[in-house]
Amino acid sequence: MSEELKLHTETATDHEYDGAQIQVLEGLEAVRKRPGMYIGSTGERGLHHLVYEIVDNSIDEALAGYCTHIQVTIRPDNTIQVVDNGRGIPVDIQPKLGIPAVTVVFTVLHAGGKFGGENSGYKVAGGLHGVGASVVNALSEWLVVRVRRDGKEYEQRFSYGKQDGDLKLIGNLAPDAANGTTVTFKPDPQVFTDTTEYSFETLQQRLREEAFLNGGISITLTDQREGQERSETYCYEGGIRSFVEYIHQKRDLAVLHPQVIYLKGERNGSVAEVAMQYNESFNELLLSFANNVHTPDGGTHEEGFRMALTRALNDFGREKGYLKEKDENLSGSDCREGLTCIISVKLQDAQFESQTKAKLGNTDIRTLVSGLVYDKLREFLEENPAVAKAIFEKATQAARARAAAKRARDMVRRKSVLDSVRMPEKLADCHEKDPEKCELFIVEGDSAGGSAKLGRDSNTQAILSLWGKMLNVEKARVDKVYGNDKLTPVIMALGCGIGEDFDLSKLRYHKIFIMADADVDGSHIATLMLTFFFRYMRPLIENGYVYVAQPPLFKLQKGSVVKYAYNDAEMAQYSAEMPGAKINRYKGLGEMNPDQLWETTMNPENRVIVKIRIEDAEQADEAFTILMGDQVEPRRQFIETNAKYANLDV
Amino acid sequence: MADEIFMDGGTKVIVRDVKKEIEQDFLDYSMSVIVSRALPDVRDGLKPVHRRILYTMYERGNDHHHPYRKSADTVGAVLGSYHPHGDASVYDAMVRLAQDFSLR
Repeated sequence: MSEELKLHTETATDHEYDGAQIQVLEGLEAVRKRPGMYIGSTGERGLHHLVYEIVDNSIDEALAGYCTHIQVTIRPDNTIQVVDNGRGIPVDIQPKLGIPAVTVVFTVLHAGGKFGGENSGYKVAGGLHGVGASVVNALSEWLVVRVRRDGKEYEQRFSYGKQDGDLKLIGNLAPDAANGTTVTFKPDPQVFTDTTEYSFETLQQRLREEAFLNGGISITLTDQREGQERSETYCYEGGIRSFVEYIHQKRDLAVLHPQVIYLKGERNGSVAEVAMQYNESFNELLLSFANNVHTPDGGTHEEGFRMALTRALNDFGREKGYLKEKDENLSGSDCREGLTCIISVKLQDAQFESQTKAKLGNTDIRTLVSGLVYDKLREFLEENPAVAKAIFEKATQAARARAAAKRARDMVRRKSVLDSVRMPEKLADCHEKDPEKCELFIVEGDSAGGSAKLGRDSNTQAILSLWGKMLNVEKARVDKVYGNDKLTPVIMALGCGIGEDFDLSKLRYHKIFIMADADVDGSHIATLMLTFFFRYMRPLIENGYVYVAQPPLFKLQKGSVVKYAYNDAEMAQYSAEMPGAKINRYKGLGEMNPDQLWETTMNPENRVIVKIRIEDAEQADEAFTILMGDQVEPRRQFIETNAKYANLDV
Repeated sequence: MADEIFMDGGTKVIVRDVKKEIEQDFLDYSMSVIVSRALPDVRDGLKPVHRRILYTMYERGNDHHHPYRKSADTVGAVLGSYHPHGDASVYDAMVRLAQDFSLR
């Protein structure tokens, strides 16, 4: 915690609180004091974010049409070098500040060439606040920028965000040498206290995405660290079409029609691209981007797409007789079942709803995307009747399944009309009614459920015991989920409905614990449960309501001293502290008596819990498809590559 | 990404990415099933559950020149000593062991 916050905890009489206490952080000092505000975190994520900021600048240069190749290198000492062949950052004197423009870009917040709209250096750009380069500089131990421009090469050095000497001319370029910018930096270990070790895979994923979104640009990622040297180049002439193909290929999903549908339109200087293809799975994957920035919360471009897709399919289906007169209209989710779709828009003055750029707000984009999709998609279906037929078959099947699910659901509802608060038999509810204070433990096995029931704090903790393994929802359709005897109690106990009916405000518990045995079957139950939550109640995970309880693995007893170890490291430590202790490996919750279960796993005063969050919905989606889906090959590959990391319980 | 850890009162909260959690859980389960549940061992051709049944019967002297014993008796002994799972799994495995058209 910083100084000024500490002040408030001390007594007020000790310190004057006057104007002198109000600090104004100037320039990059603010960035160093509150890095989280600029790069999200000072953990691994923030560390990698530095690279994206620099690369995004090069990508913007590419969008402007001046740059074709970007090289990113992780150097042996975990420093990063980004080289592009763009125009090079200007080196002439910036008139307002009287120092070279490149120095301004790296030392002054809100400085950049992307504010001017049509007249600026850039027509469209992901950057809007002009802080990227200077933030990276502020958080680096040192940073060196080299600019190749007008036949000369210049260098400017910085250390801890401050200019280290003046801009130097270091030589003339060979006559045929390309222009461009090279940025090399070392993240400051004082800021990134967790780690300064870069992950090839994390960068790989992001850079590949950038290459997909900017068809034709080639991006090379090289790792020069000892023992893991490698280099990969990403360049996709097909752009987002290749992205869709790549997703299907990687997950080994059988496609419904061979060709990716690609739609592109332009209006008032904004460009929208949509690439879509149906596959045989039941899941929808829609990724949207605005100026190459992923918008996980959607926004106007996604809204426009959804609207137009549903309308286009319904209108077209009626006209061509794919939908009979007596059929109901297809719903939005019918139209999107098994659809993989990438939406990418590039526009001037992108308005996001937050600095993290999670949701696009420009309203004219909705009109652009929906108009484009409606017209061009109908045109496409007109010209490709075979594809149209396949899509309508899929969508009407989805509609039938939805109808079946609705009937099943109504059955459940009608029953509950008789007694409106009907709860599953296996639920031992808590007295408290305020969801925020209530916790639900979903317990594996009746005997463990019994112990939990006896050991719990019945004011706030409810127990739901389940016996055996539940349905793998990844391989089942919605209507099966409703009728399932293992999942129905969970749905009823939570009270918030599933899928489209999901209503977070009706949720009865704000902490939902998966409490399974600490053996491999317990792990399996956790995966099945998480799959169910992820596919049908995702907001639960997004809002941080889903937890995995951590029962201890070992009990050590020596005389009257009892210690519990929750992992192997603790086990090693305690057994060194207590030589000759009797060691007990807990394989199941049932082996503990109610007091022990309470003491070790459920008591808020000393329990250990894992809170589940979604860091990247697309990657998580992919993991669920691979691990739980019906394609065997990708799963086999996953197991083969990762077998060495498994904790075997033999 | 690394787990974040913080304290909430007395509760130690570990924040973990759903992808990481499910990958690790799935890997533990699937590898354990592969290594010690679903596949016969190349040395004796038995899966663990079969070996446990045969060994229990051997221990209890349940061979050809002793009287018959009820299946439930053997199932109970296997469950009690070696096989921490349901009774049906042991019974079904034992039935299959005795069928010459299932196992040779």
